[in-house]
Amino acid sequence: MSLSTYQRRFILIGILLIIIFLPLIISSQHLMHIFILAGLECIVVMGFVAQYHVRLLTFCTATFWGLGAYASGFLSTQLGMSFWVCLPLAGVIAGFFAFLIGLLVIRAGWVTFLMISVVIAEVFVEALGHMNLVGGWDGLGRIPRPAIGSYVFLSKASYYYLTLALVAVCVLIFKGFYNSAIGKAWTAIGQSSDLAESVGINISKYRMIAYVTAGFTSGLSGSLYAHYLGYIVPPTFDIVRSLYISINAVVGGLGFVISGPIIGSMIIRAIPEFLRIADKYQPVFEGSLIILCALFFRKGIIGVLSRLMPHRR
Amino acid sequence: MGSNVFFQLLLNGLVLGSSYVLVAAGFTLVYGAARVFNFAHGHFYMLGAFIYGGLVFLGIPWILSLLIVGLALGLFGLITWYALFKPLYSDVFLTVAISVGLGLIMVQGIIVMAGERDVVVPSVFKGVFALGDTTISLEKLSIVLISLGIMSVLHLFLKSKIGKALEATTIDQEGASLQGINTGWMFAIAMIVGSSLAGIAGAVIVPYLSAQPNMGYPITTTYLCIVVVAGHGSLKGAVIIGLLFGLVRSFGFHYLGTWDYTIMLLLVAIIMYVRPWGIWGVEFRRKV
Repeated sequence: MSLSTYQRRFILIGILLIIIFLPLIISSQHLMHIFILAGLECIVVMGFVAQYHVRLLTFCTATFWGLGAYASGFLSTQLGMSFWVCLPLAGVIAGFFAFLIGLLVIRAGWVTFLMISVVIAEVFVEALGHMNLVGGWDGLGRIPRPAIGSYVFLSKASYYYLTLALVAVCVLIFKGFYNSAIGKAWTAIGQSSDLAESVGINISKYRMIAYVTAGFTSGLSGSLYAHYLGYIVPPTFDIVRSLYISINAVVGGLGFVISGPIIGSMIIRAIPEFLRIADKYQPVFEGSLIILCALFFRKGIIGVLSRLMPHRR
Repeated sequence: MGSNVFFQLLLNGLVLGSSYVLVAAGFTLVYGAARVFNFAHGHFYMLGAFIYGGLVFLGIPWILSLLIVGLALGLFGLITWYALFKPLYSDVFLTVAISVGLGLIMVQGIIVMAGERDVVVPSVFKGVFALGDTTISLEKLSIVLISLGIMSVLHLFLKSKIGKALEATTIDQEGASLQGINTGWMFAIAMIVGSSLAGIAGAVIVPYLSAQPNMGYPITTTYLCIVVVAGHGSLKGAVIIGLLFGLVRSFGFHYLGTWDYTIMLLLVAIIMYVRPWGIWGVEFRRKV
């Protein structure tokens, strides 16, 4: 914490420059693929962290992601809508479903809330698998890549920038929330919901805002995911994916609402690739990482880094 | 379509239900007494199935294998409690997160060791016997009877002094410690008994289902639903709802086709919404 503002700004600008010029530095298509997926995932993780911030524990984050993906895929393939219409619609649909679910269960105790989220995650996958309208278990295919006029986002680099733009939008959305009065109420609820209630904060309302925002941004990310892969199947969005999202959040650091999810997703996605053990030992690696973080580094990787920083001066 | 089909469905439902009961009873003990929301509980069940399979292949008699599985998983649960859950006891979310991580490691560990395939473990009880015009497989009947035996042992255990202390801890931790009950020990005991029940459930059901590394995931949803519908810490509820779930899955699959699971889950969601603390979980209302 003893870094001066000047130094902080310097580091931040350096990181931003690296992120912006990444496609020029890295020539490997596979790595670009990893970065795109990590970017899309970190939006969902941000939503998860926002929900954790108001002490809503949920394991259906991937469900809203999948909802966005399927909504966007369905609208573009079956109804022939343009991607630029599908993207906001996917977010709105996912947000609307989050609102409906929230209306029912946001006042329930945390155990019920967690359990209902597990049930929702299971029902979502099962129901999609039985719906022939969206391809059933075979999945929904031939989702077109987005295009502006005659330019189609076909290359990995162009899609990387599209992802980056969405991440930036979501970061702005969440940053706006955290810096506003709503964010202060969120923090108050996170620190002690009883105390927050006693000073007149409407807990359910602020929880609902966090829940719907998370649903909305996850839906946006899902839409981009569907149009990136062009082919989606229901098991991609099952509860195991949601568990992974919670792992990303813990590894990145639950206290760091914006940088935590980004770093966490990057690490979980990228390090096994660098280590070349991606296939077999990846879950072992991730499992050990989350156990280590939970036991010894409560503030996650960023917490460790910021603890190391001042000594290097 | 006569009484034979009905009896077969009933028997299948009881077989599934008895494994659900064992896993859910273990979880309800752990969650009720120690308040640990163990997402890896289903993987303990998977580990039990694999250890039992290994022991049977080594030619060890089934009852001894079952005992070894119970002891091994109990020890594993104890180690897990002291190494992972106890240090994080105050933070609910981190205990959930850490059990998720543990589950990932366990599943992948088994995949690395045994390969990602189904391991068929033959039952020691072979053959069928006829009862009127229905045939009953000895293998399925043995699963139900062994589960019944284990549940009776658990019942006797809970009637003992330690069991009473466990129950007291489940109802009210502070009150129990005021009565001189060492709640720290009770948490550890709940973890041992609960984990070994999960392992034994896996060992009992494995001739019927065959062991696979991912078998823990589907049952995770099932036991969570059972425990929440029945009420946290309620053993009676876990038994009734567990058997009901088994029967519903067996009959539902026959009559409703593949939609049965979805319909069942939606029903569970409705029950959860109407009675958040479960059907038998009234006493737990105070604070979690």
